[in-house]
Amino acid sequence: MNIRTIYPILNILSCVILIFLGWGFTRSSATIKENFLEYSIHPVGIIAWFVLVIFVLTVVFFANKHNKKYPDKKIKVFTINPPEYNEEDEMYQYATMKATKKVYTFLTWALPMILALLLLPLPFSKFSIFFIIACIIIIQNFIFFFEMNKFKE
Amino acid sequence: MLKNRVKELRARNNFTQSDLGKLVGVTRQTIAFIEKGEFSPSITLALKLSKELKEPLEQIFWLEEDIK
Repeated sequence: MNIRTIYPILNILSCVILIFLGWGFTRSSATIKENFLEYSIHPVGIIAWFVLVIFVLTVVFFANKHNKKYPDKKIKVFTINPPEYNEEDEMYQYATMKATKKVYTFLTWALPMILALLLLPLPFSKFSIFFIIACIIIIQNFIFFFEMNKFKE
Repeated sequence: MLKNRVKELRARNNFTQSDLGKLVGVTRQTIAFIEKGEFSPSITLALKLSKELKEPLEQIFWLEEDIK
């Protein structure tokens, strides 16, 4: 399986881990005791942190494996351009253009709606804002994945 | 809608989709989508296909409403 085609799913998985990380970290506390800063992290945050590290290392491992198998279609995991962009030839450039256009349309509507939502006099916690942003990233990746999948045989 | 005879001409020239893709510099999937009429190639790619399939461009691609 081409890792590039499943990259949006990997993004979604990392986002799910980030939700747990956010949940754990927003339940952590920092207190000053006898001139020392005591920082206690919720166990969920610690576990999610380790899971995230293992996940990233696994992705890097499979990306390296992919790069060895397809030296002409290398994937750079840590790059400004998202690795899920597929510009192998003109059809995939067209597919990527269509998918990014759909994602842009989604963001054009979703972001102002979230701003409006945050204006409501509701008790939004730090985690709820974190969760909303994570959901946007998840939906964005689903849109990209399904649009690119239309160009898969 | 853009119609084409790529599949027929490819078979006539004994090319697989991969062979033709390599000759014109695209993936096998792109050839498959062109054959199904689900992707319209650029003029550059259409001209490359015309060259490899040894047929004039208008004999390979035409618009559905045109009389062939």
